[in-house]
Amino acid sequence: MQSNPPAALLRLPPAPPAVIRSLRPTLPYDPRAAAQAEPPRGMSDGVAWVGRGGIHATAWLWGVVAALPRGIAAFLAAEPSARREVRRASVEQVFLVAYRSLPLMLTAGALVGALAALQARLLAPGLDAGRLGQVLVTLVVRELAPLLTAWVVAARSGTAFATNLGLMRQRGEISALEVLGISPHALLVLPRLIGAALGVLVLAIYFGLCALVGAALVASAQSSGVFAELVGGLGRCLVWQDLPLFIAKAVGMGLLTGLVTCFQGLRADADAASLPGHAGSAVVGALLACGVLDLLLTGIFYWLNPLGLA
Amino acid sequence: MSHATRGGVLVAALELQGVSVRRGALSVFEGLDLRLEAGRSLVVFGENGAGKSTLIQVASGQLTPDGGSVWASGRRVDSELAGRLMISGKRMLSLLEQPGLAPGVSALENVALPLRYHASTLSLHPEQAQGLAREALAALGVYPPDLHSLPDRLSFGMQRRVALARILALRPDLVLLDDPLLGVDSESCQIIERVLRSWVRDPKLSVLCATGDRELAARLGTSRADLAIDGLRVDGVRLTHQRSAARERFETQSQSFEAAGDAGMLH
Repeated sequence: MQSNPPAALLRLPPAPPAVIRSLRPTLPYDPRAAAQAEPPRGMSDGVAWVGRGGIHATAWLWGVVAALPRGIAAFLAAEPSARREVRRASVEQVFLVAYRSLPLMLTAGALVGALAALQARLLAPGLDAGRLGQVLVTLVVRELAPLLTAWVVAARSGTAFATNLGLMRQRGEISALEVLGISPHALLVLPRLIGAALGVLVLAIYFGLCALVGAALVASAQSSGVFAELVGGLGRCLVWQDLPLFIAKAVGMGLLTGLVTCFQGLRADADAASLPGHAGSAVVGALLACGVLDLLLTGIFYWLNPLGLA
Repeated sequence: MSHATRGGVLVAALELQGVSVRRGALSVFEGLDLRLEAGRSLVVFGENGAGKSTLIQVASGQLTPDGGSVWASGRRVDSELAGRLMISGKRMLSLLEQPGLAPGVSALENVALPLRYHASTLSLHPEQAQGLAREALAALGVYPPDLHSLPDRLSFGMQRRVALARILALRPDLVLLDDPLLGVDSESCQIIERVLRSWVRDPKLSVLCATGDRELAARLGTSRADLAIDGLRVDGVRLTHQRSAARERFETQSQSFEAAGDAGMLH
């Protein structure tokens, strides 16, 4: 039997001063306190309100952005066997993200391409097939394929990421992993980021191809023998910078989707009722972030390559 | 295993220095000090609301204290310390209040995953993980068909056994346990106590166990501290100041009753 001398285990600290504190109960939301809280009135209140909002927004943005280097750092610091598990989980996530949304993206791509061709011909009846190809490159390849794909992934997989991680947080699975020496950022977050980034890239390629096929079908139905002309128009409008733009948009928006939704999921508190709210704001945040990134990258593209507008 | 030293002085397996924790307006601990030497064990007994779970959460890095600091093997404790210690060959593992098992995979896979993850540090081949997981689960009395059941199909007591098996399989150096006998039947109690007894008797292993079972320390044959309303006591002597949430909760409740009585609501 092991006998531990208790006095050696516990040390007597100097007595701290008496603690006097309010005994008023604190609730997560106190309607009485909320009713008593005064709305901002003066200019200083307004400035304080803006300041608080700015601090919260900065903290949120920092948390989102820091998730990627944190996941990579955890991966690099992990032992070889842990990296093997992370790689396995990443492959699984790529498959899940791409596989879940593939039928929807194929259908949506064909419909968007067909509708774009139809509307373009209705708006400009004299539009030849070559010019239609240019419209498709500008509209579908540069904009709609990566953006719509990212939005669909945000709505489907992003919701799953936020809900799944939020539930794991609430059920104590995240804490259980941490106390077993397993990094949730390496094992849970990083694979989802990789899955979202590569999943959006793969799905955007399929979406673009289906859109072109849909447009070609509509154009062929309207007048025969335009397929070669349409492909020629596509070829004339495409520039080499379209490739890096497409990849940057798809991978960037996929990453953003993963970052925002994973971050929001991990922020879930113990209140089960807060989970739908977290998932909802995660998806809205991802949609907005993707839109902003799309605008930014399109602006950079046309600034570097004004001929792309021709 | 030789215990770590710094400047010739033995480094404590776990040390809490002046830890203060508040939950909203309530104070759970004020200036709590606790030192657990390497190779020693301590059972901390406390009533409901005394702060047992909070103590283990703080010690395992799952809760950042409002004041003071927590050290394990000479390193400051945070939520990622267990992983960093694992890489350096020290295994600090904890059983929290919630078993925290992954719901989508079997009990066996729940135990095998940490083994595969840490296979390099444990000098294991990943394929050995399943066999070791079976051994650990068998030591805690989990056999087929429970072995292949999803955690949601298992009773709470069985889930706690699976969670303990994850720790047992990883061969720990420091174990932090939050009420390991919580919600388990007498048979499970005996099985879990057998594992705890083997840990307590192991001179290479340090154990800090918080429990609501007053007799557990005696049954395990180790030291006991009482986490009471007015402080942490050993053998009836108060050793550190602590202001428990329980007392404030009681006082708050009394005030509410008085207020309700004044308003004529209690008759």
